[in-house]
Amino acid sequence: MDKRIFKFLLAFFFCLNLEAEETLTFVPLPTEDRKTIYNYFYPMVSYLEKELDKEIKFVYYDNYEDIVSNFKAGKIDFAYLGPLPYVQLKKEFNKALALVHFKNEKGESTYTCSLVRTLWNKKRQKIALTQPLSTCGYLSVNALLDKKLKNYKYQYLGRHDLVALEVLNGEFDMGGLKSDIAKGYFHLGLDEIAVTKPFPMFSLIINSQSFSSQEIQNITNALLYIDQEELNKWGKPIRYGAVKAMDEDFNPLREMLKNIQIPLEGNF
Amino acid sequence: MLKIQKSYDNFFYGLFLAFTMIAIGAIFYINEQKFNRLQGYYESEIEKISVAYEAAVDKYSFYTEKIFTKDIQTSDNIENLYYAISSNDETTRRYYKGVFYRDFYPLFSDLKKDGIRQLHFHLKDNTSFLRFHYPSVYKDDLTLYRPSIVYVNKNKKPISLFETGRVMSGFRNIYPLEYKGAYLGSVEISVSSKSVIDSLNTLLPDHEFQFLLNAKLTDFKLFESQKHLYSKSIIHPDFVHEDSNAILPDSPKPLSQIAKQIDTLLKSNKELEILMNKKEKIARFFKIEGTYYNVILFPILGLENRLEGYLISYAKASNIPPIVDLTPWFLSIIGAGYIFIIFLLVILRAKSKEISEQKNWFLDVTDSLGEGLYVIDTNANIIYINPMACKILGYTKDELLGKSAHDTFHSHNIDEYLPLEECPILLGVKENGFVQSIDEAFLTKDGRKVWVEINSRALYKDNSLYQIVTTFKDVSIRKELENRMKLLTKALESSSNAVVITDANAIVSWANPAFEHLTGYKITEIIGRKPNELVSSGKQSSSFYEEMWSTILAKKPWSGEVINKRKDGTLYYEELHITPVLNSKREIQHFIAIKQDISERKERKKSIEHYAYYDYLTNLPNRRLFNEHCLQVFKSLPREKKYVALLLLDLDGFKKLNDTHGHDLGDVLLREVAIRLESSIRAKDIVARLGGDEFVIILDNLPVDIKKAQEVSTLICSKLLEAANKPFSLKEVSYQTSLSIGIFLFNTPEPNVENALKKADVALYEAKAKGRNTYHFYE
Repeated sequence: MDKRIFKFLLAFFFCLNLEAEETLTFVPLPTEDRKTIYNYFYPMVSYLEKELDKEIKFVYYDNYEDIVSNFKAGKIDFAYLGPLPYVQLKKEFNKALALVHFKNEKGESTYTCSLVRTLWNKKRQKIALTQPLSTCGYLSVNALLDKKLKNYKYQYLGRHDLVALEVLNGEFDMGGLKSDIAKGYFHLGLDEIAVTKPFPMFSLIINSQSFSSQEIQNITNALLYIDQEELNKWGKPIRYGAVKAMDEDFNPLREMLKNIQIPLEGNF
Repeated sequence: MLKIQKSYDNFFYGLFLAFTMIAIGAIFYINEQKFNRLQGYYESEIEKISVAYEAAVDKYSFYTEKIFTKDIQTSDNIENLYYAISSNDETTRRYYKGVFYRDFYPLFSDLKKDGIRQLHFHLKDNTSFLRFHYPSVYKDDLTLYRPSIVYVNKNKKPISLFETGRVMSGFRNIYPLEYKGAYLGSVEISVSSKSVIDSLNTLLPDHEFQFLLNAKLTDFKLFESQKHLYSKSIIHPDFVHEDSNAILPDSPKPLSQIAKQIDTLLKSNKELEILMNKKEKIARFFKIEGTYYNVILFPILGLENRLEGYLISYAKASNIPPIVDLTPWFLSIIGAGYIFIIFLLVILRAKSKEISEQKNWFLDVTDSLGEGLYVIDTNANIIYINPMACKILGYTKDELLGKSAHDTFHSHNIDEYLPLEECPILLGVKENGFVQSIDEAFLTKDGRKVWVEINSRALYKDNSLYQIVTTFKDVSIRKELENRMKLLTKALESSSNAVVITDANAIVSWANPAFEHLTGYKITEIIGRKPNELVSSGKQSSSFYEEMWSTILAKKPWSGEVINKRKDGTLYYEELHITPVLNSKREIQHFIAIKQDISERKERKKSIEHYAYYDYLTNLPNRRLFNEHCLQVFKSLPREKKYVALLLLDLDGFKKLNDTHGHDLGDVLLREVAIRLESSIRAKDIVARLGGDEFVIILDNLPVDIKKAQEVSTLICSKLLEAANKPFSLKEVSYQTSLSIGIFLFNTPEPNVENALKKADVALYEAKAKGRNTYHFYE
């Protein structure tokens, strides 16, 4: 083959490869509706684009499992995940790496899950859950119900806010969701029955295959050392800063997962 | 000439201006027509959008009003709201609020299906009470961000309008809420822009819509986390798009490429920006890839007529007025026609200018002619006359133009009036096509006759004589000069003096008849030759000629007398005057020689000189010469030892001869006596006649010895007496006479001649006394 043609094709495919590497993918956990989630995270995605000088595509998946499977498939470079999805992902895909935990408005880097009901409904039959891989889902509610969740009727609704709304609408008697999200609905008569022990706060997870160690360091620094003015643009779940995440932070959760089989579907 | 050129220029500039005005007028007219048609078209398009927009908005207004009236205001659930607001206990308030939310949630679900985006309850203090569309966000003060809510809470009147908001912008239908007379606050049933656009699309399916929001009324309201959804419009920097990329599920779909292209075409259009700032309804159309598209910008006004945003409609334009397509053709035709006409005008102007310049040039030439020039028609009326002609004739141009040349100044050197039909110039030109005359005469304005040389020629058009151009020049001076020349020539020719004109090399070019007479040479013989070749006598020395040439070559006249030789070889005296004639460069061009034969004068002069010392009758020395001679002799006496005798002679009886035979005979006698006396004396002696019959003789160089001197003197006197005694034949008259001689002998100078003569006369008296015919010595 003519050397020049070979060089041209090489350069062409190299460019294509570069082009492919140029666009990264960010996926948030679908804790709330799509618009809310988009509003929460879009500013951070823009910030990271500038910091990395790379385009980042925002992709929304309704299902936690889809996030995990796509992450493992290398289709996701960034993900905002709760501790349980991360632990599950890490278990199956070691290249997943939690960089930081986002803090809440109190500056805490942990969060809790709440079991809620309404002030006017005393029944305890139907329980609304987020998702199987949601920390505040089956795992937390089961723990708060003394591991007797299987004795209740439960259904996965997908999002934390849906759990709150469906409980409020009387479709479910109780629901498990992130305490921070639940608080937003207390004014509508949502009541907290029980709260879990703190879990590591939701984290920014990366596919370490997608980045060099220097880039990983840069991303970590960019999230840890950030102007308050920039943070003010970000959504509520991530606007209070972050702390560096360590894999050991997830060990208590790993303990909880021992001897438990989380059903992937509701039971009614 | 300049004036003519200027008037030409003004004419063309006028034409240029007129055509330009016509072209501009046509362009204005077409643009006016296009503008009017387009205005009509725009108005109908705007009206269409306006009607559709109002229909879409009204649809939701009617719908929400119905919802409010039937499902909210009259609902039992309002009681829950009342308790949720007014209960003292928070848990109770939460309880009722939750129940309130739960009971209206199905309604909200239904509303969403019908395109309602928001169901939002506000308290009367303008704080958010419950957003069904965003229940976790509440209690925020809306006073600053939502003036429509403030309006409703304040006035307790419903309102329906477009207004930007903290979460979204849309069409707000806000109603005051009361429960048993207590004012609770207000409820807002809002429709998203997408819903309105969807409705518009239902009404106008071939249109595409987007909303632009007034950035000044939007930016400050937004939750920080919402701001990223808004981007600045490229049409107007003071407007923003809401989720232009349709990231969110309930956002209108992104604009098509055509609409984006149209937006790009509207970019940075200051006029558009100004119109938008004025809340104007704007319509435009664009041609993209051969297809016309309309774009209508419809202002969305909110509370107190504030400009909340613009609804922009994009659609293919199916009924654009034909004039739009035709206008470029019309303008091209006008432009091409204009350019063509201007091109023609430019060519015409150039040609006219060229002709004008030629005409000007010709007029300049004729005006600057040293000859008069005029043009007449066949009736001799003057069409053109140049300044020189006017000057010669003494008229101004205006006085002559249109006048009959024949009647005005043709004289033809005759004193009587000549009818036009007999005008020799006209007749000559008509017959021969031209007339040339060097003896024509014109009359000047002041009646003077001017001799002119004319040259008239006919001008023909279509083989017919239509004009006559005549050039003429005033030859009066030439004529006078010629006359003078003739006179001069005649004078020269008739001059008794020979006149010869040569060139600078002395070659004869002209000579008058007197020269022939003087020299005997024919003029034809002398022409072309040098005079000295013919008439030089060789009597003059070379220095003479050198002096003459040096003078005349020094450009000075020379005069002198020369002896020349005639053709027959005889010599003659000539008085010669040579005058060099210089040209304008003061170079010798000619020599004029005037020759006069002065031979007679010379002879006469000689004769006059002779008779100054000689007696004209006897040709003997007269008293004057005798005196001078006597004095010479007196002077010689002191140095020379000699005797000198002075003899005074007198004819005896001469008076009687005169009285009896007349003076003529007496004169003859005197001449005869003179001859005999002269022949009787020695060569060295002289005899002179003192007057009448009195003669005197000086005998010089007589011997030193007085006796010997007396002897010689006596001898001579005897000869004299003898000679006189011989009879004379006087005109056939024989006459006998004698002499009486008085002798004064001296060897010392006398004081003067008279003194000596007196002494001789004393002796003569003695001789006469002795009986005449004898001599006597002074004693």
